[in-house]
Amino acid sequence: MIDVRDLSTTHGRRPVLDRVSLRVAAGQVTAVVSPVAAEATSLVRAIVGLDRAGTGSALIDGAPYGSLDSPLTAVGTLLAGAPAHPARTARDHLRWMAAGSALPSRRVDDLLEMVGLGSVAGIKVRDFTPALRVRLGVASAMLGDPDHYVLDDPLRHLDGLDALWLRQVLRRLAARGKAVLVTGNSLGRLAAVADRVVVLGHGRIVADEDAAALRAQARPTVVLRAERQGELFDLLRSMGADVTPRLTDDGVSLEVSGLSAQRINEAAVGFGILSMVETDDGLADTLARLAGGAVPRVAALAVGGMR
Amino acid sequence: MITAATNAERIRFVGIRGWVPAALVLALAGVVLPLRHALAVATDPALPPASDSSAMVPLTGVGVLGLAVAAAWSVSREYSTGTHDVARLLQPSGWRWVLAPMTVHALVSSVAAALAALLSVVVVALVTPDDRQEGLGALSAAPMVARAAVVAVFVVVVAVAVASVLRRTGPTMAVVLGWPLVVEPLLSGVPAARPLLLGSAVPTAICGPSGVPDGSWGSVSAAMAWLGLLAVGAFGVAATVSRR
Repeated sequence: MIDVRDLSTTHGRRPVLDRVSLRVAAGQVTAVVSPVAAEATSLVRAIVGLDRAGTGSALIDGAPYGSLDSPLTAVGTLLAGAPAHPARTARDHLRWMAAGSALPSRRVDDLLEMVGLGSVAGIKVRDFTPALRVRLGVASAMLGDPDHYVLDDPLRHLDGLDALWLRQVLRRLAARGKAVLVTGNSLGRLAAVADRVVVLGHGRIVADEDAAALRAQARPTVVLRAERQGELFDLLRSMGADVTPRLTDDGVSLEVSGLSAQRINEAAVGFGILSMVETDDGLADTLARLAGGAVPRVAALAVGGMR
Repeated sequence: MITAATNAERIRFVGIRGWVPAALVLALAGVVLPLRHALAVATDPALPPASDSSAMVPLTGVGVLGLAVAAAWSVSREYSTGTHDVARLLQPSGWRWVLAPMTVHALVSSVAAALAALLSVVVVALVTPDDRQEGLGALSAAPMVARAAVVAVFVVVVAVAVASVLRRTGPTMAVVLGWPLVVEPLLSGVPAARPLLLGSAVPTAICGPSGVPDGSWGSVSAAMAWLGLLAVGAFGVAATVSRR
């Protein structure tokens, strides 16, 4: 279990987290959603000891991260942006991590295959798309087969099928009894994978919601292309979705709304999906309501920036 | 676990071809510049005869500086790409991730410096006519070759420490290049400061006071001790900062 108690952090002198308490239970995916990315990032960095807590604590099975003998076998971490040296190949990145943790490197190739990077394992990270970097970061987190996972904003750069892949990975980890903490700023996208959603606002926990209830409310907008697009159009219409053909750079796409993300996925999967991008998670208004005034207002930012 | 960190650093070093700058320094300070010096001595009778010390001038200047810049660049890139944070996840103890790159870079630089020293003497000895040589030979240069290896370790430790403290490539390069190329020439005008400058200490520690035109240090051991003290101090500062 990951146990965060009364955790407060600062960035310089500016407070970021204010007495946050949170338990991430085994066998569950717990999502932490914050309109301000720095808050969720600060939580993740404090849990793994990269940022020092001002007050409070973050414990992994009762021990702070810094005191763990073999941290990678206890906690799998994906930092924001999935950092990796651009001049290193994906395989070398994982070999480096295995060596630095005194772990055998025999899992490296298996993991690369598992996350779909087997064919690009010898390519330098600088040539990776952000989605590929996330896949490498997930492989890094899984290297020590830990019981806890802390993933900072992994869905940010993932669209359609990549996002679907990550959701499946996270659900499988939870099914294996792992405690999974995942952060981000899209309530809809995180509710689609989580069991529980915690919302941060102004550095505090402002809501703790059952993800299933949020999923039922969500009506995302998805733009997709499929091989048998005409048939898919008819099916989605018959299911009650609002479907509008759109001319995009790749040809005609379908803009779909009015159904849950899961129903859209289930409907589309048999029609040869070519691309699928969620343009609106369908819960932005809910997040704004839950987070109160914590959502940065464009006008306020603009005025602040001009001073 | 320091062994694990050093092993990881070895993989990182090989993975990003960190040995390439050392090889370039070896080629430049061990072959190209000594060859140029030898040809000049051979063709210009006004120049003093070639010696072990004169053959190693490229190494004590551009060679050692090149090794320091390469090491500092490589380590500062770990910070600027966020890779250092990943390293801290593997082993939360920060000083290990200061010591590990120091060890690997120092080792590689040490070998490169020793080879460059040996090569420079051999190249100059082969190209320069016998009557234009004075105390030039691989055997007589052996102590200098050994000292070049040690000096490279000290200088690279200081450079890596600067990178570990500053954590940004730009500021790190500004210090590692700006100190010997800008600050030291300015300070050399102050007689009391002159012995403390790397520009004096490095050639003295390698070639001895007689090999340095402006021999500010009385002995090799004094210059070597000063460089060693700098390296230990720099490591101490970097290790302390890494705990924050």
